[in-house]
Amino acid sequence: MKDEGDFHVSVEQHFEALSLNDNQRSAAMDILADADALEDKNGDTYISVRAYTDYILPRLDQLASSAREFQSLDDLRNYEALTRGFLHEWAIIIGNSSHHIAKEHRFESIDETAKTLERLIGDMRNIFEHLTEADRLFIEFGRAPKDSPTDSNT
Amino acid sequence: MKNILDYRIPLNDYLKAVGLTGDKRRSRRKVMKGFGSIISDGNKQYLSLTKYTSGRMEHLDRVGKNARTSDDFYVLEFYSNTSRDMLFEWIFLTKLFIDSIPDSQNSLSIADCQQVFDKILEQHIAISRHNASANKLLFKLVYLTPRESGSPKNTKADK
Repeated sequence: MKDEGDFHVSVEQHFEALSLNDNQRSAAMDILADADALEDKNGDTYISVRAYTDYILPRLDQLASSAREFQSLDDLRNYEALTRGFLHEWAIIIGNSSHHIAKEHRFESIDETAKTLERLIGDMRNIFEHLTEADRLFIEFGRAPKDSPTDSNT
Repeated sequence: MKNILDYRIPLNDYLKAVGLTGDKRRSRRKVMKGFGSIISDGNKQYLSLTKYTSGRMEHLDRVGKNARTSDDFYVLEFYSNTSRDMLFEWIFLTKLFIDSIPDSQNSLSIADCQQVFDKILEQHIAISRHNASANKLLFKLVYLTPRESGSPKNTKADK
């Protein structure tokens, strides 16, 4: 299950840390299944953070494009809310990874776990850029709001 | 653009977030004061995040420099523990920072906040590298250094 640069967190622990209710858990499981990020081991289910990230980042790109193209405030709000949610998730994942580093007692794995954390931090930075982009779009929409149709000929 | 050195967070929020109480809380306040990172507006005290984190990073760099030229177990252990504690503190710091956005305290734009956040993440990576380096030094001293007894000692003669 251990792939280079990947990090695995228990689904149960992750959901617990996020304080998700049953409905939210079910929605989150759907996303993780869509992302092909669920892996079973010894009766427990784990999240492959690499697979999850590879799914999340293009999804945020898509939402940004869609908000830009249709100048839709609803899409933009959705984009911003998802970005914030993922940032919180990554703060938890990075916390988990840091605990893993602190507990790492195998000499040969020290550098590998440190590199994994660096990669996760890089991903978190990419997610934060989406928050900056959402804010930039809010300002842009504020200047030229298109939430009501401008074409009055119809 | 506002100087990122101005980024402040309410001091009590910070101390609460990192879970410090009693003596540890008092001792941390002393450290913060030493870095000149506690700011008061008359009513409330704030922590200058940038001054505080810079101070902590400089301290860790010094501890690391000292450890790299030492074969004293306790010096290396201190390096490992300090970097590990900071690794955990930066997790709380990151969470607190994310929660503080949009920032009302500092009137920073999100783009400005990204600069602050980049710095926090850069420090987090540096701390992780320090911790890896400390653990490797400690591992080498404890497991790879020939010694007469199995327990760690802190003298050069031990080698």
